[in-house]
Amino acid sequence: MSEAPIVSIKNLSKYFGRFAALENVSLDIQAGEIFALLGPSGCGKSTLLRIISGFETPSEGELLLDGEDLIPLKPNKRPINMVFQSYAVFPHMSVEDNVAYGLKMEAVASKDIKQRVAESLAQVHLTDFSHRKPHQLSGGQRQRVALARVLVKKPRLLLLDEPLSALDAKLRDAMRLELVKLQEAVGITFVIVTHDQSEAMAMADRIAVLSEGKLRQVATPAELYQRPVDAFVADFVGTIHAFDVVSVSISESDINKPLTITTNELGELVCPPSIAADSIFIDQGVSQLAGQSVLAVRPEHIELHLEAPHNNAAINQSSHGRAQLMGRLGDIAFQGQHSIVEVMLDGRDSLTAIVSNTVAQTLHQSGHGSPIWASWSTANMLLLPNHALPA
Amino acid sequence: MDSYKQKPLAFLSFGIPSIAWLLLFFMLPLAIIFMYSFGENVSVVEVKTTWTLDNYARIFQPEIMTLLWRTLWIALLATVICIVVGLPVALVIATAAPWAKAWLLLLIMLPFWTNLLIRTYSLLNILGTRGRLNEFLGWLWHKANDFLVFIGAGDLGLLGTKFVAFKFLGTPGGVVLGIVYVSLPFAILPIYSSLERMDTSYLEASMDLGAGQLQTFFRILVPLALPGILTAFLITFIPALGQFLTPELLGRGQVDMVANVIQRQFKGANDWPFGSALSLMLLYITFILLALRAFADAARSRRESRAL
Amino acid sequence: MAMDKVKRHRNKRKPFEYSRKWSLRSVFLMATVFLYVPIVVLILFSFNNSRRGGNVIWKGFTTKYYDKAFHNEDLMLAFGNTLTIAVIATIVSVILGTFTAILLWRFRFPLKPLFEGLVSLPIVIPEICMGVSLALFFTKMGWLGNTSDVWPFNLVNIIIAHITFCFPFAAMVIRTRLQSFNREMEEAALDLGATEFQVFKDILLPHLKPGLVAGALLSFTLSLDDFIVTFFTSGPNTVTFPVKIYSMVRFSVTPEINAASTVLILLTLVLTFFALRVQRNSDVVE
Repeated sequence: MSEAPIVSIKNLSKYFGRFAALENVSLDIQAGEIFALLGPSGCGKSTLLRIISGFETPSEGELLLDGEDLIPLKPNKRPINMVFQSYAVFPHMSVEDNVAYGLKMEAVASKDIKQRVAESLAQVHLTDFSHRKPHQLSGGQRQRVALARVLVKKPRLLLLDEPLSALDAKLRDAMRLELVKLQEAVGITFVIVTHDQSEAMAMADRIAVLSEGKLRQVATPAELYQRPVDAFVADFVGTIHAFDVVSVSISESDINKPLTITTNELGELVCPPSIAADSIFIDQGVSQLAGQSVLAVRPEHIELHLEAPHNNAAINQSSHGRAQLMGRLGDIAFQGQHSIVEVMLDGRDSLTAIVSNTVAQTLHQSGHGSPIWASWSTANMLLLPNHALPA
Repeated sequence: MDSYKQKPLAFLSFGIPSIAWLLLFFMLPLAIIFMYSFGENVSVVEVKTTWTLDNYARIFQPEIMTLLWRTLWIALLATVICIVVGLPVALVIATAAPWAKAWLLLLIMLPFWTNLLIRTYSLLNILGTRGRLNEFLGWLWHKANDFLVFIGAGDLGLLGTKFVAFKFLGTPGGVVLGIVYVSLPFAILPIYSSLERMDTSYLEASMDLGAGQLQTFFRILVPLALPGILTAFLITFIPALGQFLTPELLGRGQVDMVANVIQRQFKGANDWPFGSALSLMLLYITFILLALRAFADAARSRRESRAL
Repeated sequence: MAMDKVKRHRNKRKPFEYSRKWSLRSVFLMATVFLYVPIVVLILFSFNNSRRGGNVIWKGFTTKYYDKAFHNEDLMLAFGNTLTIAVIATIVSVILGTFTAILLWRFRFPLKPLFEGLVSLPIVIPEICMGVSLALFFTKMGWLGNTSDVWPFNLVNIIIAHITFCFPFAAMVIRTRLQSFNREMEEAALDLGATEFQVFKDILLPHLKPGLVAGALLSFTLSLDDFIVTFFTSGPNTVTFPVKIYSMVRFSVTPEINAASTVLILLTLVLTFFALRVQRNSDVVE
């Protein structure tokens, strides 16, 4: 990404009294991408969106659009438009008038307005509904009106605030695809705010994860899942099972040498150095790793066995390159293509593993509570700093 | 909501007209009668504020106390009747089919939109000694008498020898009836809206736990509707205290209430200071009632927040 | 094969369908009869061909009392006064009410509860207190309606008095309407390039319209309905319809009063009809 970003945010902070809604956030948004702001509610993503749209003024920091300062511009003067969470389709105007409203505000000639409104309505497949009033439309159709209304203005940037949250589950899936296609067709940069990680993963080219007003990571969906910077991000974008790290030994001279990591549950494990998050080497000295980092595994990497996979005497003794735990079989939840199996452990939360339905069937026959072994390759694990891993 | 500091100009332009209006045409006039209530007549139309307490002392004269007492019980009786009748009426509307609700409510509220004077006047025709109500009661008496004769009990004189017309006009009963007539729709409205919001599952839970219809009604429904009933009480009772037209037209000068005496101080006796004191008396009672209501609300919300 | 006999049940009343209980229904019915009979009798007897006051006995159908009422110059003048007062008071009340409602909805400011209390005070205090205080106020200020003043300035006392008790009601109704306004609408319009004024004109005002109409109708009816405050603030020469009828009733009860009253009842009915239409239309849009 060598070209100049369309939006550039530098050291942006927003305080409400003493509460920091956003703290020192810096990020760039590239032209033509779908960029998602992802985080739990109250993480500051909506505040950031409202700052970009102009409804909030930042306390500190810079906000540039195409290299120019946006902050002094009022919302009605910014070449940025927004699809609101409630859609905010004006109830007393017809579909056509709603779409034309923004052009009238720009004082576009009326014959141009007519043409552009028609084009825009065609784009969202609402041509036949142009004379309807919003109360005669379904939720999905109202969302299309909100989209047509902003697309017709050809903004530099389109902001979408939880665009799918007001729709029912089935429509939501269809609209994900449709929004992506629409974005490809119009070529406008989209910024989507969402709290739903699967939505962000499915739609966005890049995702920024925020929590408690701080930016955690900006990455592509795949990077985010495979190389999360910390336990919070890893947990937020998918399930992880984390084990507290007791000690780590790293060869200071050669960072490509395997690491030896000890946890209470798994014992001593030899892991490839690639499993460590980048930040571990940048931010933290090895001495600080113990007690402040976790070793984590995702459910899809866990294999289950009815007998101990290695004929070691010690049950929980993991072998070189492989972690192993013994537990008892818990509930089995059928999910369609696969099943989720619960492994109950003594003294900590149970693990879940994703297995094929055939395996689940075999496990089921052995009965609830029967002994079971979970194992996985240490190469599939993640060594993550654990600051603020949610309870 | 924005702070007024963010947009001081908009705040002032929205605020000044109404604040100025209320101060000039509402607070100032009240201040004037407040001053007058401590004043003395120096000539026919001139009053001097001497800070005398005479006007208030006069309220404690026996005839004024009688007047206040009468005003109080007439207003109270009318209010209680309004609520006792209003509760079942509101209950019928609140539990009616959804399409019927609006129509039933309209049916009850429509008379309320008719001019108060006209409504009071229309009662004159009904309540006269030879009016419609007595005509109807007379007809009932004759039917009942015929029936008694028919079953052979005619000679017992159970109903008296002939129908005696009821006297409504010029009696407290007529005035109470008149106040009930003009206030009933207004009393029904708040009770209705509290019942309308009520979740029937409370009632069903009560029955599920073994309570009967009547027990559910008195132990669950009435307590839950109590805020609405209290509102109904206040918005019926306060105007009833200040009723002028009903006692004037239906009381025929024989059932005066406070407002009639106040009016006479201004449009006859020309005793403005005393009239002012009496008006303020009415105002103070209103404030006390509203304050009691506010305390009750505060106590309730405190109780509820403690329960949480 | 023998068919099983299906036991049928009568559609019984559910325990809490009070509207289907006969005892409660009869109370409702009696209340309705009680509320309507006097008015219906009043209307019927406006067509009674009887000169006698008290109009106790039906003497045949006539419309001559309508004729008489319409040719009663004093009565018609009073009627005109009433309408003039109602129209002007309504317009000012809606404007003041809108300002008050927006102020209370939009802004946080010190002493706000005090201001809210002050606005609702004219709604709750007994009418006679307001009538008396305004009467003394106008006397003291020397603002007494003169017949020599040009219309409608001779009515200015009564108009001021009416606005004072109407606009808090209008403010209440408009404020309720404002509460259902989604502020994202305002932001959406700004986002599409509208200025603050355009937002007010294009978005907020159309949303408020049903509230404004409801507030206007409420003010109009309150003004038409008022007797007490007008009675105290009117001069001997500025008589309104209710005040005129009051003086006629005190003098004698004639079918002419019934005829005039019927006209006013009809006017109220028309207004109510309009109010309902407006409300229904706005409900559909929501």
